[in-house]
Amino acid sequence: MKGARRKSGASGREGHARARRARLALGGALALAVVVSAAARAPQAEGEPDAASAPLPGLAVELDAKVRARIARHSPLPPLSPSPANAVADDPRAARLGRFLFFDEGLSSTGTVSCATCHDPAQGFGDGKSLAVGISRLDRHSQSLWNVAHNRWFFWDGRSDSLWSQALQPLEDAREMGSTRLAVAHRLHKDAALRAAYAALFGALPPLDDAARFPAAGRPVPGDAEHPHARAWAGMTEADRRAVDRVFANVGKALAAYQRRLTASRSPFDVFVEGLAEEDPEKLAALDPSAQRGLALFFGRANCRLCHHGPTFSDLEFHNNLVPPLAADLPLDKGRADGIERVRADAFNALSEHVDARDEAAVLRLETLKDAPESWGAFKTPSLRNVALSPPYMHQGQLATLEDVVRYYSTLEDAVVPRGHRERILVPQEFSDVEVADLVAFLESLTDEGVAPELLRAPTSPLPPPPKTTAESEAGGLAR
Amino acid sequence: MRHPDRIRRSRTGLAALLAGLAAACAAPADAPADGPGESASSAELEISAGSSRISAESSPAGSSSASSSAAPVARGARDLHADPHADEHAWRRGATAGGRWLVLWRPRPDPIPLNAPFEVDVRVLDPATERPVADLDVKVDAAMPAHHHGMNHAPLHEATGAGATTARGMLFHMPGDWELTVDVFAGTVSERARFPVELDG
Repeated sequence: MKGARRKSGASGREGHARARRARLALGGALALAVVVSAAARAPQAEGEPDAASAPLPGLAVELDAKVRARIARHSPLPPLSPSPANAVADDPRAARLGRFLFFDEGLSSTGTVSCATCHDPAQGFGDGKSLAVGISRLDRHSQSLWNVAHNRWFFWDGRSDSLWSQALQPLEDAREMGSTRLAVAHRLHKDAALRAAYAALFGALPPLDDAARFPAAGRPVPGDAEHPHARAWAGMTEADRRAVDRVFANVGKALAAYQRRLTASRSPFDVFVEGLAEEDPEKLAALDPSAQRGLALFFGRANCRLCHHGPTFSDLEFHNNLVPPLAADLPLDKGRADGIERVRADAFNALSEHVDARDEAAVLRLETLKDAPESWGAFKTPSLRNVALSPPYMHQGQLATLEDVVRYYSTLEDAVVPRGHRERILVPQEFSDVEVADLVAFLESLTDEGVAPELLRAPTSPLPPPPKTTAESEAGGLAR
Repeated sequence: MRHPDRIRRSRTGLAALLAGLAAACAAPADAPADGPGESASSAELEISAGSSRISAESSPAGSSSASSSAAPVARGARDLHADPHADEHAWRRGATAGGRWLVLWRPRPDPIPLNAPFEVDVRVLDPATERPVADLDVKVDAAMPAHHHGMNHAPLHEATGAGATTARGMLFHMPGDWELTVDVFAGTVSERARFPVELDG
């Protein structure tokens, strides 16, 4: 006790010994108390409350501070970064031209297929099919284009490194739109409005009237120099080929300018996140109790956020989630392993002469790509924003509904374990039926269809409407 | 999926026990205390939810305090070898496996961001003199041991001085436990230093 007199000699040593025993007892008791307390909390799953996080009114689940911080990092969706390689990325005139081209079936060799054929606004910018069908059937599922511009790599295998260069591949793919860059250039040239819209952004087209210099169709065909398209292409001068490549690239840039506007960023989940920060019960009610339980699972025990993290709910990278192929007779799909090889070889990648300005970050990503065993059979993590709008799911549309997806991760039934690398953290989650329903409810809460309606349909013209006259403005002239 | 926090919580309990016992046994540097009234050594245990961070301070009466607090948890990432007395952009340090070299490293930006590119500066020193060692090759890499995969990028390396290298194009694309490795090569000899990094997200 404070103020006790110091004792000397034998009684002092005895006193010291008693004090030491007392300290041992005190320290042991203290440590034991801590251990017991920790043990009492041991069954606590991540996300369950601690003393510091009393439940809020309107909050149907208890979320600890760490999970709340984690949730907060998933909203809001940030604005898009500038696109140095695409000088017209944010030009409304380019977006209008790109929107026109997106819906233009005249860009296909058959005149029957447009970008919107596989990326239908009415179907979540997907197509509702397991495998895409353009001119003929492809081997993968059409991805949704919601928030597509937030990606780092494009296609399921990431074989394009920019949104504008991605747009070019379907144009020339024989199964998709079956066209050629020369044909695309001629399409622009022959339509007065397209020609004018193009010129306003990129300058005049090459003299495509000269059929000798610019055949009706032609493109490089890797591995098949005798293909008619390749022969036509090879017959052109180098300067003319580069001029057509430039037109082709510009078409991609206009398409990208339109697709950059397909953003979905204010879902009930985003309102809920605001509610957490503001402790606003009304905003918290944006998610019903089932969706809130699903949220707690998503960011907690189920660990979905390990791959589906960030404001887009995607790490933008590639994983093999062992999902079995749609059918045994489909070609073996190497996924990202193939994509790495193709993006390096892409004539329109970040290192190409067709970038408007060098994007150093994109160049660094490209130059540091690694050939790793884990890329084999890996596919890009899709964003979960608006995921409810575009079934089916997975790279071959193997799973029809969101419930099927959640049940797949619950059991990993029929999972295909590769001979090489597998994602070691992927283990059956063993969700109850209620938990399945809750997770689906949460995924559905990531839906925002609030994009401007005109973005969901073709414009009447690729050119912007003429400015209204004063009389028209006063009379409340016709809407565009 | 495995929960590293469960492992950390069990370690928390054990470490707490050891810390408590250690603090209880600590005696004042000078004259022995007189009975239970004297201020006993105490251990402050700071356990944050879901982590194993422990800060133990032992401040017996009459002695200088010998605090060894763990490094402050930085947003997004923390690594377990951070030097708490370093400047704002802390150099982490550790020896290579055979003790031949002392490796210092720091990320830029700091803390390491989740799923965004960062760079790593490395300094290789002689452990005896802590002077830079020249004529070395250094390679930085990282992996997630529990996941059995590494980064999706192989960083570019640039020598920036004697024993100094910068690795560009690093990307930790997933939250969780990473291990950053620094391989040092001198002729036919090479040794590795390992640094665990925990990335939340």
